Amino acid sequence: MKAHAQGDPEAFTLLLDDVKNDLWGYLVNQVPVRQDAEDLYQEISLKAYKNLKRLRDPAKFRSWLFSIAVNSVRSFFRRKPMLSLEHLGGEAAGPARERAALKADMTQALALNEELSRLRRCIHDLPEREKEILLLEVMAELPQKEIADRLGLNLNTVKTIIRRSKIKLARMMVEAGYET
Amino acid sequence: MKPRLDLDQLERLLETLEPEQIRDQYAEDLRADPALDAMLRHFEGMDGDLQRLRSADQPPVFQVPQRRTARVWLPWALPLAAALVLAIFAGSRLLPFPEKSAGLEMAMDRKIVFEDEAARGAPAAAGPTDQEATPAREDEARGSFAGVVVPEETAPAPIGETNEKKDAREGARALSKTKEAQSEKESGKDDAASPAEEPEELLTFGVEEAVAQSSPAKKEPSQDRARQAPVATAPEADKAPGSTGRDVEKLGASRSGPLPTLGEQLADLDTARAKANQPEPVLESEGESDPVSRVGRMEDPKTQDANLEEAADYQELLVQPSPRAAAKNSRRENKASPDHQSWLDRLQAAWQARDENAVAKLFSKNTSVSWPLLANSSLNHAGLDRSWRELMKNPLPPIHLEILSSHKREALVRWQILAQSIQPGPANQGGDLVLRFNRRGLCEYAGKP
Repeated sequence: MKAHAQGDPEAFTLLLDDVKNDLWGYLVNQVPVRQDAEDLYQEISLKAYKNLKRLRDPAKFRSWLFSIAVNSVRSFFRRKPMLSLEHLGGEAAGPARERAALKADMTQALALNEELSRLRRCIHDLPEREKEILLLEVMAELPQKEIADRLGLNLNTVKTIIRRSKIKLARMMVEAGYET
Repeated sequence: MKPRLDLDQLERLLETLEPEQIRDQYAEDLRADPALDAMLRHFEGMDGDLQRLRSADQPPVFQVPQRRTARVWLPWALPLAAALVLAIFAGSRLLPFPEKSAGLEMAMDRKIVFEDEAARGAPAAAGPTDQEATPAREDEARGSFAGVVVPEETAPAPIGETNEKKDAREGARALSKTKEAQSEKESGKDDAASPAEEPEELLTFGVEEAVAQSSPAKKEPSQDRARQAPVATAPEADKAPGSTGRDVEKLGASRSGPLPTLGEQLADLDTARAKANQPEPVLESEGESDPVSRVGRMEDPKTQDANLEEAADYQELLVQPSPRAAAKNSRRENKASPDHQSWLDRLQAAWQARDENAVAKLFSKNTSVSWPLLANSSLNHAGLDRSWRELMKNPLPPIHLEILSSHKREALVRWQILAQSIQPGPANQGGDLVLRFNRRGLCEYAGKP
């Protein structure tokens, strides 16, 4: 962070290297459309790059970065209603651009493990709050206490939400006919 | 009896119990409904699946934006570049080249005039004094165009107003050529023969003869070639001693006033014509290099074809100054009062005898004409050609006009000299020949008024 403050252009890249996979995992499982996830990734990275000097404790960079991510995703869903995968085949699937992006996302999902891609779709169908907390715990690897603090929730509530989210995912997987 | 286990009940059980506990307590139900067992297995493997999903694919590359410090040079570099461009443009306009070139071109014209004087036998040592130069300047101011009458209504716009810069530029170019030729001549004098060996009259009919004629041994071959491509040349070592250097500069400086229009030049035609009965025509003066021919001679014969191709490019630049230069030459000749009738008679005799040397002598110096020079229609010389044929039909045999040099300025100058030379003769029965120029200096019409 000192190097970044002194103008070293590589400093932020080094900082981001430790977090970028987690951030990307959080985003790509939060947002059903991959292109939106990419846009959000760039947006969040840029915000962090510009506001890094405001971060006083370098140890909290991860938590600080995912706070930006949470706010950005929330703002994204406020701007753009969430698109459920259940609506993909229908007439109300949204603009052609989104359909094309989703199609590309599906194509990429084939390359991914089939079971994982199914799990990702199920995650996308989770309620927003549960999905957010689950991904913060699983993808961002934030401590549950910190998640609770960040979201202004009780720790037990966070724990309950996380467990319930996993149960829901398991049931969704079964109801969708996915075999283990 | 326990209620039968289903997915909703299993979901509630999973909130409080671990999967192993459920398996122990509801083993029979799990065997009865595979979905329940599948749900338990999904839940048990959920953490692992989520971790695998976490590292499933790679994130995109974030492009770190360029720091502003990388562009700190922009605030001063861009204005500096703009200032440089402006300075270049401004500098090109502020260069004294056009004005200086115009002066040089005028000086060159003046020099031509004084060389004519020297060739006619004026005191070479004394050179043109200021008093002598003054009438010349006055004549120039009047812009007399000896032997040529242009109607006032058809007079062109003042020469030099629209194309003055081009005119001046071309003049400078011609002057530089002249200087080069002079330096070549001076260097050649050391190696050349004595003055007694110099050709007495080196007016020839071909560009190649410009050099060939300097040697009497090569006279005949050059004459043969001259029939094919005649051009006027000038003898070497014939500069008037007093007509260079200081006088040129002086005369160039004297041309600071507005350039005379063609109409003003023609206003003195009668006066010039009245002076035309002087004893010896200037046409036969010897030992003087024809500036017009000199320009043509300096052209590399090898480049003649190329020049012909570039004639259109030269047209605007080269044609315009010619009326002025021709006016000066013509004016000087009229001051010498050539006997045009006798000159025409001699020309007729020389022509009929096919004596090219004699013809060449008649066209010495300023009138050292290679008359086959006006067939280029791009200069609107077709009318000139026809007029020339008509005028020369009687008593002279028709002279085939064929452009020899692509130097159109030269061509036009020579044509004008020719026209005024024959004008008082019987060919046109004393009538005037009208040369009508457009604003660009191109001759649009030649014929009787």
